[in-house]
Amino acid sequence: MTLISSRGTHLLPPSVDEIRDGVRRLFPTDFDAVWGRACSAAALSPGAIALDPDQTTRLIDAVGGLDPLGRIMSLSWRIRMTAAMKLSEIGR
Amino acid sequence: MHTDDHNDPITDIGRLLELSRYDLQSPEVRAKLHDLAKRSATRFDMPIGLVSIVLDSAQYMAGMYGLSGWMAEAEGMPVEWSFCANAVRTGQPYIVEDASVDALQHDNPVVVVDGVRSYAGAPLITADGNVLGAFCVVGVQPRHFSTKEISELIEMASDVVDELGRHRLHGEVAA
Repeated sequence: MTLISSRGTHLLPPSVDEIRDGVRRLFPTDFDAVWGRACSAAALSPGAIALDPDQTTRLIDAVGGLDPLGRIMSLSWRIRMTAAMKLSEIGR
Repeated sequence: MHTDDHNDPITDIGRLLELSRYDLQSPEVRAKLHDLAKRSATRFDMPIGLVSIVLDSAQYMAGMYGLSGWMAEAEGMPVEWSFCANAVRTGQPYIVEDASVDALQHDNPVVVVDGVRSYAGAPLITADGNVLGAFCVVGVQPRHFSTKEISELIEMASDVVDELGRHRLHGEVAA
């Protein structure tokens, strides 16, 4: 496989669109029900288009509670979110 | 039902499913992985050793030694900045002797801003053939890695996989 650099230099926290797309990829056949369940657990509307950090954290945690694969995705997003916050704190 | 439309090994659902069967976060497991990371750094006289698990969109440093700053606090980094992701993509050791002049890594923020210069990582390959991540050492100075050293790192990566295998979830605990 050819390795290709495709990185940006600035890191943003996961957006609701990224999380929604991730859940859709994991659960393509029953996405609506699963997404609704995750949003309900996070006390969010399934149609939310922008989340504050607390809401994003709740949604990431909710996805982590869906199943073991959701737990892996949740860990991945949590690292991205924490990294983005820590980098922002030091001006990057 | 889980499916995957992507060809990138990083996002391969089968690989992520296998990852989900390991206990990667318990203090007991992490203490052992931290010890293994320290062992590699000491053996190769490098400041940093890592047991890196490459997730869907981030690298999780399940075991770490010598790391500080934002990467230690986040316990990882975005996958697009991850050196270890390259070992997952190829299933082969990934070696960078001087990242500042490396075609793939010279513009990586962890090189440009954080000062990473040298890297050697051996893939963590399971019995099912999935690559979970990499066992790696990282330095802030350019460094040559000999064939013998790379072979040794590969053997140590096998020990890491064995250790992870002793901590599978869902009752699949190996002897």
